[in-house]
Amino acid sequence: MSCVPESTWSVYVDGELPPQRVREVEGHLVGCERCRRVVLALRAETHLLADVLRERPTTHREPLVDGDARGLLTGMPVALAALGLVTAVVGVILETRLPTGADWLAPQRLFGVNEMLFDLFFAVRDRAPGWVEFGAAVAVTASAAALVTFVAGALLRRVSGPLALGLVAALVWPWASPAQAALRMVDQPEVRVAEGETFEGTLVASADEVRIAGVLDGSAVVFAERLSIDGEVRGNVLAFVREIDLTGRVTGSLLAGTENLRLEGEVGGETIVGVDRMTLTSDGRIGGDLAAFGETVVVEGEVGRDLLGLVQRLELRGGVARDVEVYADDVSVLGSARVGRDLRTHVEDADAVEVSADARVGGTSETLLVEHGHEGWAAHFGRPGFYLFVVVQVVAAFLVGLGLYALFPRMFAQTLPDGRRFFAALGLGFAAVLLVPVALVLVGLTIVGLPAAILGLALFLASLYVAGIRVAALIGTALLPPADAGLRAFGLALLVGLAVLAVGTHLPFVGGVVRVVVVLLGLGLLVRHAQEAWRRRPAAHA
Amino acid sequence: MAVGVACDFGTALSEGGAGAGPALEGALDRAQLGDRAAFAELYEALAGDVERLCARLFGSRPDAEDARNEVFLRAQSSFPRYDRQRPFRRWLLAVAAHHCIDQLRRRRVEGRLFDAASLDEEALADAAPGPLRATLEAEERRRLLAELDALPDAHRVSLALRYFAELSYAEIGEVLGVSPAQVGTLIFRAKARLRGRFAEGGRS
Repeated sequence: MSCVPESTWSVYVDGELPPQRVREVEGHLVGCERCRRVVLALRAETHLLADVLRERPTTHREPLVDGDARGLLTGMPVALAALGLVTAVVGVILETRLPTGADWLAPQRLFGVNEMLFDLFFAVRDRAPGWVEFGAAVAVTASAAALVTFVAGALLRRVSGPLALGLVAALVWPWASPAQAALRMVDQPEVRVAEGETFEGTLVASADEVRIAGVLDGSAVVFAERLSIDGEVRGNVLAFVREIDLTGRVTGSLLAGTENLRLEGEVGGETIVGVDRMTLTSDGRIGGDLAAFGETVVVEGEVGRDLLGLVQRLELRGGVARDVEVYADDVSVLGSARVGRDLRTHVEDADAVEVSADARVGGTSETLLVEHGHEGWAAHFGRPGFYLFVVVQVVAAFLVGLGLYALFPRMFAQTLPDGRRFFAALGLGFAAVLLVPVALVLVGLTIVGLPAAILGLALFLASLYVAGIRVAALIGTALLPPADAGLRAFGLALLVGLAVLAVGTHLPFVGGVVRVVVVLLGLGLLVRHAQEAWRRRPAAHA
Repeated sequence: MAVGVACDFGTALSEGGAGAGPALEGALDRAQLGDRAAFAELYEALAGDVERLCARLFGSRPDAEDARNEVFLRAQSSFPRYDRQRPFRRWLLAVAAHHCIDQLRRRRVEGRLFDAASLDEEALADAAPGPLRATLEAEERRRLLAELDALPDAHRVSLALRYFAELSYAEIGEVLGVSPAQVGTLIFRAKARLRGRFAEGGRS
């Protein structure tokens, strides 16, 4: 009998030969020394393969990060030059006093922005009734779902199934709690709580005009052209309204984005407003703090606690029980004004502050000049504290980066092999910087979306920080390609990248521009990673 | 007689039900009665193997960690169809293999690599060196593993399924969609190729 081929012995050793064939070949085996050797060798090889295959895969992983960052070389100079030019032009515009007609060009002017926002919002609302509300609801649901999915995904990867499911359930539970049942949604041209009438629960109203003359026993969430409160709201008011007229009483806080706010009545809690023009009349009273962001704020009435203003013009005639801290172009404190404690104004020009001699200030009254680099561009290089600060920054970023790599190694797998991809990532980052805040505001406008918006904001800010680390890792792995996927090799590269970045972002003149490019680029890479992770999400199960 | 050199690696885990001690047998009983916690416990005991198999099937790319979670879900949903006669480890690894092959197919155009036709086209590599020695230095083992990961998908997958997951030819054939006989050919060819590449790497 001629020898059995090795391919047959391979099947035989795997125990997969049909029984009658086994008898045949074993018959041959007894008499064939050569075949016996082949069988023994195949068995040994089988053991070896099983053994080697059982080894831990981690020790042999190829480096995750192949450090291809040539795109940085081609893209970075162009991006830096372009952004530098933009910065220079904007800087010149900022410094020049523009003719009145072209004032809107100056980016620090809020003038008109509020109005534009309102116009847009109400135009959309008019053309497509219900769609704004519907869109906000979809945004909230989608962001909540995305968040939960993300958290669940991240946990399931690390934590055992039941525990993760429990955690997700714990996360979702408060959202679904029956507390939301009291919410009532009203959408009609005019919403009115008439005098003598009492409306119980939260009022969510989207209307042209909302008028509360009676009692609202709960909070109000209002989108409208006009909101007037003559009666009483026993809760908070959250409003995105063009005109607010408050002559009645709000026991809680007032949170509003508005063009015109006239407060003749009383707000029990805080008042936080983004506003073009706000007047707290002499009859008006705010129990808590007043924080106003906008153009003109006139305070004739009483503020129960602090007044914080980031405005163009502040006119103070009334009383503030505690501190006044204001950043403004122009501040007038008139004779009738009373400030319980300190009055601090931050202005560019000392002449812009006018404090009447008759005004009473309990504590100190000081005017601080907002400086614009009068110190000289290199002064901080002479301070040891500066270097300590940079080192602390690098160490913190290093630790965060290592942690991220340990948790989400693939986050660092993106490369930038050419300039095209560099600019694609940069554009993506730019879009994210523009769109995410807008999306968050839209989500936050619906009160149920507020937690999601806050969480989203936190994530967004965190991602801005991580963006820098991401780019540092890219630079580091390009300069010092890691030998394997281990934490040590990556850490070393990361440290190198962070050091390079620390120098780059603190260069005189261009440092700021470098920082912006780095953050945008890193954000773009993170977005791309998120896209890919989303594309690779688990498919439907069999 | 040579046949007496029993080839019994891995039998401790692969024979007789879950085969990993009474604790897991108990968990298997409970899981079959619909206890999800018990199933999770079972899965946890073997999740390391699942992850390792996926890493091997993917050629040691880092996707293996995701697979661990996805295979769990897939296994959980198909567990009601699990036949107790079959060792649990083999069943679970077959599920994992199905999942990974789907992933590989989805990601590559090389889906046809596993087609029966393409398996027959290639001539047997006759000139390949003999079987690999059983004992290798640590450095050589590392190199062998790297060569394993670098094999074409069909070869790498068939070796991993046979010698790590310890699936039968029939089971492998079912996963790859080919006949058991073709699996035998595929495995033999994969070994020949691996030897060739390993020998080549050793010379250079």
